[in-house]
Amino acid sequence: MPRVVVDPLTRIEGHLRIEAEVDGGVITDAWSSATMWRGIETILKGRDPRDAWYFTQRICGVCTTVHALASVRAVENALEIEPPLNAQLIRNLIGLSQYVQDHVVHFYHLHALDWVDIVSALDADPAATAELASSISDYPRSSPGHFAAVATRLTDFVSKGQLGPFTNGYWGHPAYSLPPEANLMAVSHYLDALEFQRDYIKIHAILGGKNPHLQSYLVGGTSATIDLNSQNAINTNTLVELRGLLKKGLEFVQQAYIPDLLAVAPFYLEWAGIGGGLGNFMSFGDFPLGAANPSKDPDNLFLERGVILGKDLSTVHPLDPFKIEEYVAHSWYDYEGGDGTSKAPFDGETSPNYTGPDPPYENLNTDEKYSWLKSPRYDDTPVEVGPLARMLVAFGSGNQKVVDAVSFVLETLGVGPEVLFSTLGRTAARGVEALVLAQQALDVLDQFQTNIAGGDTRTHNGERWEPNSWPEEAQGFGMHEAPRGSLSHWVTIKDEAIDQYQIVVPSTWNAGPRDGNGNRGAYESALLDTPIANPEQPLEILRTVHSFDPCMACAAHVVDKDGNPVVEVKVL
Amino acid sequence: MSEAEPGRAPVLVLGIGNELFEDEGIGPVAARMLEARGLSGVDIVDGGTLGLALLPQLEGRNGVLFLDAIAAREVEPGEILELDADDLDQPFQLCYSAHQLGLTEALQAARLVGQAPPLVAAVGMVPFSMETGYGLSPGATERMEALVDAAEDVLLRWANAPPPNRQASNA
Repeated sequence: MPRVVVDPLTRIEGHLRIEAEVDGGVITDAWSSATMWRGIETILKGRDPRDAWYFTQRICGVCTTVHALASVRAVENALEIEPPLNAQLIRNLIGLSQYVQDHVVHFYHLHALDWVDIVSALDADPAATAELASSISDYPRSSPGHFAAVATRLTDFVSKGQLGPFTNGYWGHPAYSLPPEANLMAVSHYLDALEFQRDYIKIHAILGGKNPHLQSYLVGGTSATIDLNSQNAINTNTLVELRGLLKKGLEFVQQAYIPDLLAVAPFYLEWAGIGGGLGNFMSFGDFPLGAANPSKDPDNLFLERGVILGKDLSTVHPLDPFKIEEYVAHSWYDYEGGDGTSKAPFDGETSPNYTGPDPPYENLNTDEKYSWLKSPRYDDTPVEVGPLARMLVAFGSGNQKVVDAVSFVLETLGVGPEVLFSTLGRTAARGVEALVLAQQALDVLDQFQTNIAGGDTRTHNGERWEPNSWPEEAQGFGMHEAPRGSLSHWVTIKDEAIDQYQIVVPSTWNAGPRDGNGNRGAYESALLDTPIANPEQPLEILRTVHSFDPCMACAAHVVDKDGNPVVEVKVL
Repeated sequence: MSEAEPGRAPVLVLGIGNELFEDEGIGPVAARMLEARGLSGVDIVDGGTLGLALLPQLEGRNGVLFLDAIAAREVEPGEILELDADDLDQPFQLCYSAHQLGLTEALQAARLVGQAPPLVAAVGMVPFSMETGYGLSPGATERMEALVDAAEDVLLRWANAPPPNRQASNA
């Protein structure tokens, strides 16, 4: 059986690689592989647990905040430290704005190009584009003159041979079905989203101290201080500035992101029946409403915690973190006691043993080990994580804000909740989540200001800061819903230093290989039955994989003087 | 086109790379060493592995100098290389992940929105080792002063150059 292979070739090492069997124009089987090993955990052993967040936030180049947060939560959980309410609220504000930023960038700057044909936008009529844009939203930049200017800019850019961000698209591919005007509108919003995200992320500079890497994380709270009359603390002015930025975020999501989603989706409704995958979903839940560590108090979270099995939205199962285990049956690691077993993160082992082919190679031996990712499972069951999982768990739990937003999108498109189990559903869920969380950020700011007005300016609990106040041995886990899914850090502290550290990242849940029982991971399952119009341009594979918003490649990053391509598509 | 913000130096130096992978951290380490030399008119920022998130830093600058590890064929580890704007102007790459958007992508995005600085260069070193581990390899450590000298040369050249035409590079 010939295989379609999509492998982003990197300068130094590989990243995510998909091999798919295509028969009669449809994917009949798929394998997801990560061709790079990093083993960050080894760097942490022996270090001061209070410093762990500084290292873990460097794991990922863009969502630096999520590993910092999971790390401080893990250490606080181990040492039984409860940060003050203000610290939780500041962390929530950083996290919520991270979501809005991340989802906007994902939608416009990565995923949109799977649906929007940039070259077709050159054929659009600016007046007709303005008419289209005004019919779907009251977004301000929608005049014929504006779209004419965007078209000129795009034409200039393309005529100089600088396709820039658009160089490697499959332009003209038969799977693109938007009219030129919708394409031009999307290009215009692509540019606006660049400006938007540039301004919006100033929230992190305000709350995180030094920009771009936030410095305010601290075991026990945050190093940000509150003094309404001081220039060097969170003060009256910064609160006003924060509110303005958060409002801009909500407006952009309401006026651009959601209307664009609703305008594009009807042209691709067949994708509401493609890419569904496992049908099992897990969310750790997040955004604590009080001071308690969310690892300990799952009942007081804005987004609920739970598990949905077999697409059954009527039952949200409670989540037990100790039912998380990882397999290495198809991963390039050895387990003491045999590779067929699974291990909980506290007993986790990371002993690499590459048995794959020497690169360059044509195919991986997928009957044996074929990935650097482990296969995490919940209660021995493969589950999907990410925006769709979170929205389904919240929807099933009766979260009114999520129910309202999901219902609005479904009713506008004239479809039922069953379409959520798809590539399009995953993409729509991310938009819905951006809408709900952009609003929630403003609600958290209200709560924060009310708390400060009540006289509480505490941002750090230093009671257990000194290592001599710690037990000889302690274990804890930090759970965080990162934008792309459930993230957990697991730490064992012994004699005032880190003895063991394990990280289970969202993309491992989604992109991991088959487990010891032969069950496929989320990507592998979602790619089944996907139609492929042209095996040499497998745009459809990218659509589904992008709908998960993978995060594999973030950390390795070198300028390449020789300009190697990052993706090689091979039809074998 | 916005003028430089108050308190914002005309030239930005961005140390790029990941310090968790030995010589991948050349950029951030070089940035700290350069900062210690106390140059005026220059902002120095640890860019880590951020991509599009670097856009706010690029805005309203006359020049941006990247410090980074540089992969190049047939060049010995430890070699100091200087890249100009054309070298950095590579095609965008088809990505699986928004996180693969790196500094060349940030630069092109800046050009798209009319915010590209007129002067752009990179100074870097071919890495010896990029295994997982905090801290540079001994070989790279030995060459760091030379790298920082080369970076300072670029900054000196820019300081003595006539004021650039800002619009030129934003076409």
